[in-house]
Amino acid sequence: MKKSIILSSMLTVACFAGAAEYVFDSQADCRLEGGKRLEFKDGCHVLKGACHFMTDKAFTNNPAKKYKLFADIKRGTNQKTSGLTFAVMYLDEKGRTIQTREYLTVPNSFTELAKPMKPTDKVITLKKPANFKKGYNWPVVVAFEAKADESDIPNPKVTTKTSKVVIGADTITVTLDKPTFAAYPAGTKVRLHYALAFYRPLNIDKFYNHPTDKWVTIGGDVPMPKGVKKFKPVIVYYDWAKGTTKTVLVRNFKLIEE
Amino acid sequence: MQKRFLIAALSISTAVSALGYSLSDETLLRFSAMPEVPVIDGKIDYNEWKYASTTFGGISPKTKLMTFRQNDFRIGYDDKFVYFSITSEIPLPPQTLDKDDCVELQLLPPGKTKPVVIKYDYSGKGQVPAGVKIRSSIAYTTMNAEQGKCWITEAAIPYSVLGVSKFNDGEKWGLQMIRHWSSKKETGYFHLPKKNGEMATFIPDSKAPVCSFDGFGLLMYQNAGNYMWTYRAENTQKHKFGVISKSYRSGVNAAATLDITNPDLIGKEVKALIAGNKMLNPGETALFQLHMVAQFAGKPRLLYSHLKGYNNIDYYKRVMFWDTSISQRAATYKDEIGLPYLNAGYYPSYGEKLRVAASFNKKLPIANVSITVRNSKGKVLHRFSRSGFGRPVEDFEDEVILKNLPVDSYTVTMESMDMNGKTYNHVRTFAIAKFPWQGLNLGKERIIIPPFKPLKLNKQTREIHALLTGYKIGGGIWNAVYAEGENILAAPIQFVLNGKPLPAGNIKLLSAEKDRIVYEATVTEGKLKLILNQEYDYDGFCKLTTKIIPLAPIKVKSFELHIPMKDKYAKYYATIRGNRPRAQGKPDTTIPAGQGVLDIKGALQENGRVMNYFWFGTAYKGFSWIIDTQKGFSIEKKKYPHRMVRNGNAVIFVQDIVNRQTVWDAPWEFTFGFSPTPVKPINKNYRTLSTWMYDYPLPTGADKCNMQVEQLPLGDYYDVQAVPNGDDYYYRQIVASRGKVISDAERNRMADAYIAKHKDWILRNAPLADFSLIRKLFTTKRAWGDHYMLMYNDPAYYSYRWKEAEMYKAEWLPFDYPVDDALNEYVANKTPEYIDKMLWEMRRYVRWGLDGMNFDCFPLGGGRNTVSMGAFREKPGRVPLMYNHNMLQFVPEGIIYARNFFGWRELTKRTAHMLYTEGKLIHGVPWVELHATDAAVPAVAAFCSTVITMECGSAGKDYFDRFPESYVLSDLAGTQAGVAPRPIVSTHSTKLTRAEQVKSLISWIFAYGMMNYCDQGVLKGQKDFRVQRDAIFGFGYGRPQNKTIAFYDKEPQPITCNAPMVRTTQVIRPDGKALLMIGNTGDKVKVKFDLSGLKYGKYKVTDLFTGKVLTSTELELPRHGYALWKIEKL
Repeated sequence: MKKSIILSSMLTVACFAGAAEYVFDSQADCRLEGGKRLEFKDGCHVLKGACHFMTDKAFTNNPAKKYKLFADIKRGTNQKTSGLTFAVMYLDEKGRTIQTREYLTVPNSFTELAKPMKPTDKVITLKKPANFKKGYNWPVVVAFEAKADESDIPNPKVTTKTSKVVIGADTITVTLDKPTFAAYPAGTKVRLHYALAFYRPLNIDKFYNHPTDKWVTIGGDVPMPKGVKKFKPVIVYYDWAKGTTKTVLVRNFKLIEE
Repeated sequence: MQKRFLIAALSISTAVSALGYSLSDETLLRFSAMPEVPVIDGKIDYNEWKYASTTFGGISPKTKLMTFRQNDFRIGYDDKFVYFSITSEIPLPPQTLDKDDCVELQLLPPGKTKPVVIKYDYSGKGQVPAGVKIRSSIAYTTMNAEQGKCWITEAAIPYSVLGVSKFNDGEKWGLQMIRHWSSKKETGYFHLPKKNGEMATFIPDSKAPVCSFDGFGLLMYQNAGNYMWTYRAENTQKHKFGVISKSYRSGVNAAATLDITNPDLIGKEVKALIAGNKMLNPGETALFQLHMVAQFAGKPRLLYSHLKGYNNIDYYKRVMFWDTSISQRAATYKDEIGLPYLNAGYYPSYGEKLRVAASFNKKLPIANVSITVRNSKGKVLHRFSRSGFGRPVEDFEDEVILKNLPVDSYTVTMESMDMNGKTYNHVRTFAIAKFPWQGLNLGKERIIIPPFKPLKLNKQTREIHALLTGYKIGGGIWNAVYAEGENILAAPIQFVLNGKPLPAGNIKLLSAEKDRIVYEATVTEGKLKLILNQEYDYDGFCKLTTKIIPLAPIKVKSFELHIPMKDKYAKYYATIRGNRPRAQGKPDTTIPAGQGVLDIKGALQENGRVMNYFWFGTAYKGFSWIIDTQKGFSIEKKKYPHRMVRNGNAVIFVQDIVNRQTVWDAPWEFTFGFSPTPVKPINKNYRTLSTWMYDYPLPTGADKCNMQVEQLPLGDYYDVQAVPNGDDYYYRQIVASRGKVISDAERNRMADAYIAKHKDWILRNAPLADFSLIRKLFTTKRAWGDHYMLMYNDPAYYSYRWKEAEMYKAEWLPFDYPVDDALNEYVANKTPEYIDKMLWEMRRYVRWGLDGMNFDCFPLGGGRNTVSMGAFREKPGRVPLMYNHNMLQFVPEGIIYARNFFGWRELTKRTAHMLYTEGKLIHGVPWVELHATDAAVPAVAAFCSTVITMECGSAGKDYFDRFPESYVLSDLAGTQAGVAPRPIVSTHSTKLTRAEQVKSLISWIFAYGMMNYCDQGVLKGQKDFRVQRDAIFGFGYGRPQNKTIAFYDKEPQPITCNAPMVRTTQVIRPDGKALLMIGNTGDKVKVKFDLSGLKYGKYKVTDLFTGKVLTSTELELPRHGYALWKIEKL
């Protein structure tokens, strides 16, 4: 990994008027989940097959900083490929991956329990917040002890998947896969979260970035809840075809800390 | 091995029935009715089952060995009932007994084809004929030395159930007793059947005694390998009865110390008799016992049990093989459900913190968990809760500060609910209590013990000088290190960051007192600030704490400590070693020649691990350091984090603190402790010490001393210094025996009187005390009549039975969480509070009159305690549930262990201070002795006068191979720390004959002046060994009026020779006599001695082994040969 050196010869942190840039421009900088390395050729990472492709290093989140992530992508062959997702994965202080259900909020879903919840309940009733729309047709879970300013995020106190969500006039009724085995009184602050996978797409509204035969720069701001301790940039790309020859090239993969 | 050691007589099986039940007399019980019978209430009072035949140990048909899980079998009868009892282990919490845990009794009446079977579980359910009375309880019992509770069950079976009205003398019954164990399933038989239906033979006999095998003793055989086998005979007759034991243990003896893995010992089984003849009076009890230590597991041993009468009738026969490690691997209680378990530790001295760790198993998903802390009245002090919200709860750790807890006992209860709503509990405990030793600050007096002097400080040059060593601050850390007035550094000692040395920075004197000087240096380099706090102690030790303070995140590729020594001083090195390399290798610790990286293969090195102690230098001048933890270091796992490099005329030790790139983004600190050497001169007056060496009596002219006064008079299960009824007679008598010869008869009388006086108290209040070991307190000859009383202390000893245990277990044990039933002599951490307790106990010894303190088990301690010690968690890992029986087998994932050298230093220093304050000086100094077998670490041994050394694997090559000169000069001679060595020696060997090994021992001790050996075994009947002891000490070896000069002593030796490989130790008396002890460290040689340095003019030389007067001072010595000459001025 190369750093843009601005300041002292002794120290090796790059500072750009207070910014730092980390470029992942060698094979050693990145790996697949599980540790395997991908081919690195002519300055490019070569994605092929099913890839959870991430940086080797986990970065410590500085809540006072903002982060941006960029990369250039291009098809490696003439063949059309599926889109890739440019994302970040959050890690706890022990380096374990935090699942999206703990942080990927459903917009305008902060509310409270309309009725008390018993440990063995599988149906929970929430008050319907103003301007609530379910949004994406993705699985949702309910997070408990939520805070209006989202300072509870990542929040591990989330239910298992819901099998049904019924939006009424004043309430939202959620049917759970399994009971929570926890008890909360009516009025407990809750929020809905999406339960997807292990990574947070940079742009939830543009999940997939499709490579073309020209170099295209993708990326942008990295959403970073204050409570996140560590994170890793991730590129998720799936090509499940056995013996595939399709590839996607990635270069100038970098993280900027401002 | 089974075939070799089975009894010679063929077993005669009596075929009883076509259905296959048969009797074997390989296992036989023949005994009379019980004159006193037990009360069937599920509890066993003292001696309640005295007149039953007891047998310890069930045998597994799978392994053919005794089961690891312990139980006994008891069987007796009167004219109404047969009485049956089994006491057996239960699982440790959170596991519980289940329906597969059963006991079984089978009795086959003569002439019948099927036995009567009684089989039941703890609830009493099973196969129980009507009329049989059963009672059970769960309690602590001496059967397993109270290591966890046991299931005690008693049953009374009326004869009607057996289909008979009474037993007839001489009839043969079939007998089988079984303990069925659950999870893991296993069966332990009284008689191991060779085929289905084979049973033991039971013969009721009104004219017989009642014989038993009571067990392996109370010495924690599973952990410690120490045994006390006991057979017992009760004479129930109205006349005298003679009983003979032909029993024996057959197996491999351990070597002198921890050498059981030496393959040279395999195939060398030895029979140890547990035999004897005793004529018992009516009503009398006879014991046949054998005490053996160091019977470590690894190879099966045989216990052959055979008691018979003088009338040649067999009364007890049984054959049992055992090996605790094989049987433990085969089956022990194992939780197969996946029960959730709780670890909990309270740290009263470390922030009053309570830590909890909840662990779960995928086999039993848990829905929610609540951990509640309560006082003895049930008041809730804190609760931790977790819910999985439908997912299984994951393992978690948490903590809370519970300040100012009052004196009380507390519970920490974890209640876990599974997905079906079933709950499981696991309870842990701790306590707060007051103890008389708390807060006394013993040994913390601000004094300076002799021979040390006040520190000298030169503020201008920033030089600090102790007795023989000194420092000059600057140029990095130090510009110079002085040893006996000379600067031994080739360049400054420095930190080097990313290849660039760090400057000295801004140096400030914080305080200067006679015994302690504190400097602080602040270095600022870019975004990095370092604060070096240097605390100089009066022995020349410097505790250097380096605080790293990044002002912004800093990437660090390398951070090293460079210690460059002038080549002329860099001759040898020393570090902490293990026993094995010394036994099997040739640990040459000479610094190799050549430029570049040097191979220090004599050091015990480990990839990714900092060596916690290192020294290099000459026999005297050198530099050493200790470090307990590498927490905060960033170290590559696959290489050594250090190297020694010769660069021109400098030998540089490079210690990596970072060699794996990292980012410093938060403050942290690390601590080294440095000791230049020599710390002080050896107090040579201690060279007069010697002791009995088993077959060899105390040498004439020596001062008798050994560390055999017992710290645990009532045994391992009771407090240090615990005595019956508060009667300190034992200690007072030992002191009163100073310098006297106490005959065997007198010691036996003392033992008899002591036991008679205290027997009832002991039986009532200390049931786990072993009378045979209490007797040994008085009968052990070596412990009595010492000229100097050295008290044995084990600072690695910890017992869950101590009153302090419930309060301090989390701090004093070397595990990340406490082990509730830990009782072991090799584990304790020397925290300041642990040392407080020891000091209080040691002061009692001193006030009884004992002279000095010996500390065993250096350098144990530290381990994986992440709160009270320097261990740290490097990566996530499961927190194991540990018990006494497995705690030394666990290596918890993710925790990097630490040492406790700073704790040991505090112990030796405070003990020396206490002795000095109490006015207890021997040869002008407080006498502290360290069992420094691994290394005589100067930072710890600075306050010691003597060290126990060597005591490593025997059975290898000869003494010169195992202890080459480099090792002598870098550690064994004690020149660096200024300590007189007292080696532990042995003449076991598989490479030489034992007689040859004795010869190499004599030659070696002559060559290196190691006369003050003690303990262990030297082959009996060796004439030269006996002669030299008396000759040398009788001549005045070590006496202050004489000069005793080893070749490495500062004083030049007056007698020289022309053979470079020959060494001598010389004793020069003022009356014109000299003793020359000659040892050849090399091959066969002709050597000529020049005696002119004695300035005798005319003289006579006598060979003390042959008695011959020599006409020449020339001698031909064989390889590793020796000679002993007396030279007299004419």
